[in-house]
Amino acid sequence: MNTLRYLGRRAISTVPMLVLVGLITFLLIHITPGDPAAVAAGDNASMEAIEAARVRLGLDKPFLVQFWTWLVKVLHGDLGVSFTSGKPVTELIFERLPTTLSLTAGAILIGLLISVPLGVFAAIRRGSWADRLTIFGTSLGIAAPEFFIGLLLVLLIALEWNWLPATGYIPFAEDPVEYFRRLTLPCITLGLGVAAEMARQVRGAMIDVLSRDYIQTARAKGLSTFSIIVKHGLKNAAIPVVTVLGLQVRRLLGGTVIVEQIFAMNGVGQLAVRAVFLRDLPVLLGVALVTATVVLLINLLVDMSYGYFDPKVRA
Amino acid sequence: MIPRLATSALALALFATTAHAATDANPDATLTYFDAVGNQTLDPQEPQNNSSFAQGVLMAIYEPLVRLDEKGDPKPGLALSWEYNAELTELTLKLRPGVTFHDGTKFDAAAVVKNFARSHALGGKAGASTLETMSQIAAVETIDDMTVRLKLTGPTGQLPYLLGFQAGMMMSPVGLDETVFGATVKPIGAGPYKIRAYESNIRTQMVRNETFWEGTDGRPAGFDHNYVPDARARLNAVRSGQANLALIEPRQIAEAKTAGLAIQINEKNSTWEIGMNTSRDNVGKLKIRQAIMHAIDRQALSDALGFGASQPTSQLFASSSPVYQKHLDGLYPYDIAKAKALVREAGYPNGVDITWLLLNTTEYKQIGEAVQSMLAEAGIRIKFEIVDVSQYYTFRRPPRRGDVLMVRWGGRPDPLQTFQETSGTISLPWGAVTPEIDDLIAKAKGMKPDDPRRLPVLHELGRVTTEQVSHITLMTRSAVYAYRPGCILNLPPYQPTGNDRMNDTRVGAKCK
Repeated sequence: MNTLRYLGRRAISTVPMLVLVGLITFLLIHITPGDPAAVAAGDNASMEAIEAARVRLGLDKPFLVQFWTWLVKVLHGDLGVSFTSGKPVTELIFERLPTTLSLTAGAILIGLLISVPLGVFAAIRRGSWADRLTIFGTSLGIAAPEFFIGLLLVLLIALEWNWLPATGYIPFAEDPVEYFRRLTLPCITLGLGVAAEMARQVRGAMIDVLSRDYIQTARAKGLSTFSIIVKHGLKNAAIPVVTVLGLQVRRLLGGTVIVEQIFAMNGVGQLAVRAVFLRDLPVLLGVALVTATVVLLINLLVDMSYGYFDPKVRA
Repeated sequence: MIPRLATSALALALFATTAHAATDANPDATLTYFDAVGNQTLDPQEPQNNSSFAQGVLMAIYEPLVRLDEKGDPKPGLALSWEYNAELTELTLKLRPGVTFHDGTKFDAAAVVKNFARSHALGGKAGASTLETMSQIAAVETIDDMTVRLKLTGPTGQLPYLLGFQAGMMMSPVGLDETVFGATVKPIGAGPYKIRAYESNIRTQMVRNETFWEGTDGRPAGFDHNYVPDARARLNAVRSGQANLALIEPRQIAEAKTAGLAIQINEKNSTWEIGMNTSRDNVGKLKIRQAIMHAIDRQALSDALGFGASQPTSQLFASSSPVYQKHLDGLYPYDIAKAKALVREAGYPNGVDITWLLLNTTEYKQIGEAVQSMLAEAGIRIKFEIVDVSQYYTFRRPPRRGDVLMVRWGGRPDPLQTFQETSGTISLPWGAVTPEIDDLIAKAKGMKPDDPRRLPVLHELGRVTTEQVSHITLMTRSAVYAYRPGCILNLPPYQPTGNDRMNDTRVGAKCK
């Protein structure tokens, strides 16, 4: 019951946050040079056609009226219609969401698969050459921008060795094998940065936990190393790691913009970029709102997970 | 006799090429093309589709009344033949029998009437080319089931060209009226490909129209058009096999060749062109415009930034165009001393300042900065006002920013349209640089495409616009394609639009 009440409180607290996100996005688009009506009216459109487009799109109304109209529609579940394609924004976003979520989920999976064993290994072998190598490698991983890693991977794995495709996305339902083949390189591109960041967090948290008294006690009781690390070590080291993982999701959603460009994938990132160039206000607002909602949901999940990892938090 | 022999030889050669292409083609393949331009909607009359670079998919879906051949000459399309009255105030079109739209609807006079009625009713909502076409048509009469007569608003011989562009693209008349527009249009034409799936500005998947009036010989089973803005991704897609054809940037030619790909450079009637607001004190003076012409080293520009896919020119047409005149390119040779002298003579002893509205893309900035440094040597100081690509229209429309603006000109079906849109008072708010241009435009407009007097008038227009520097052309632009050797057959340069026409392009049988 307490959990439900907590969830309800958190859900309500996200509403003003989302309104603020909408307002800031709205404001930023309005102060950016460029006339959405002119873009919507098209190349060589007459002044009359542009003015007609302005009226049709409601852009002739005062700023706050425009924002309020949009907000009321959103509260009714309507994100509006794209200025340029004429399609509902919800449809446009949900068509592309599987691409971006597949990318993000794949990157997190790769990040975790690399970072957890690496971080634990480095923590156990603290001060050894393997630990130093891990620190060096993760520093490189954090410093290297996604576009650089992506281009290198494409050049080597796709173009030189021809092992994996260089571009495109195929839905799972259409061809499961090709789905994984097409996602591998972009997910590695994004995942390596996550792995580097997370491996350092895991290492640090594990070093801290492994020095605690209860770990010494567990060792004294004769528990196996595996049991000490997984049951006592990792679970207690999880809170800072999960917190960073939550932050990584936000970073990944931003990173998909570049990765989708490099790998010619039509995800939400590409949709946002094109909406910026075309001054497609409803699409931009929709993307900002959906992205903010995903980030807030992840934050909520992270907060909820604290209770699982540490019963004191639940209390 | 000799010309006839030559024509026959050319026809035989063309037939041999087409037959060869059909034999070596794989009709089960899909032509997967990665393009630098997409389609926001598939409504040919929608303004976004007025771009000369957005025509590829439209030409594949919608068959026009008049088909423009590779050089841009009007040839029978859905109209089997056409005839003007003596005054050029009526155009009678005999329609092709036995044609159906993709939905099975018969193509006939009623369909033509409905298409024109809708375009007319769209009014200012339609794209510029459709607007211009409809402004020349006063009424459409049905003579019989397969004949229509267009009553024109005045004498004009330009319609065969215009009917080869968007306004002539016929759509299925079922449910077609002015209430369906842009995204709400069902893309049903009578072209060689019909729609399978479409995502706005992303992908258009088409399948072969098995009932196409001209047959399907060797045509691929599918045509998958993808809009991929990133040039590197387009090239990578061909290299790793996700696409069998990609439009690449000239700077990528060397890389593509090293990767073992075939490169095809299709020279277009497309140029990098600087338009000028001649109502301004500086570029309003002929001597300043002439100074700019002399101060630009076009050869160096195309050598450095054209990567072998551009030719220096001061005209708006490629050398393969009949409107091109070689001697005009020699009118303003690169001569800094002369440019300096002209600036002084124009009344600017200390040099002249010019504001350049520069579009914010790498290609524009590279060319802009190169020209800026060239002009500086002649005392012409360029100050950039950098704006987003979407803001290019602010040059011609209020607030009319900048003294000059550089654009990539994509060409038009009718060479006369090129003069109308770049140099005529009809398109320039500040008017033509000399009334002679408008007079010549009116003269050419009153002549049929096959009128032997038309080309000399167009040549005269070329001379006057170049001499008076109504625009400053820097170099030609080409469409550069990359594909695996043997994968693409029959992709000739198509001059009427910025895109090449891929309706007859085949995928090679030996393509892996």
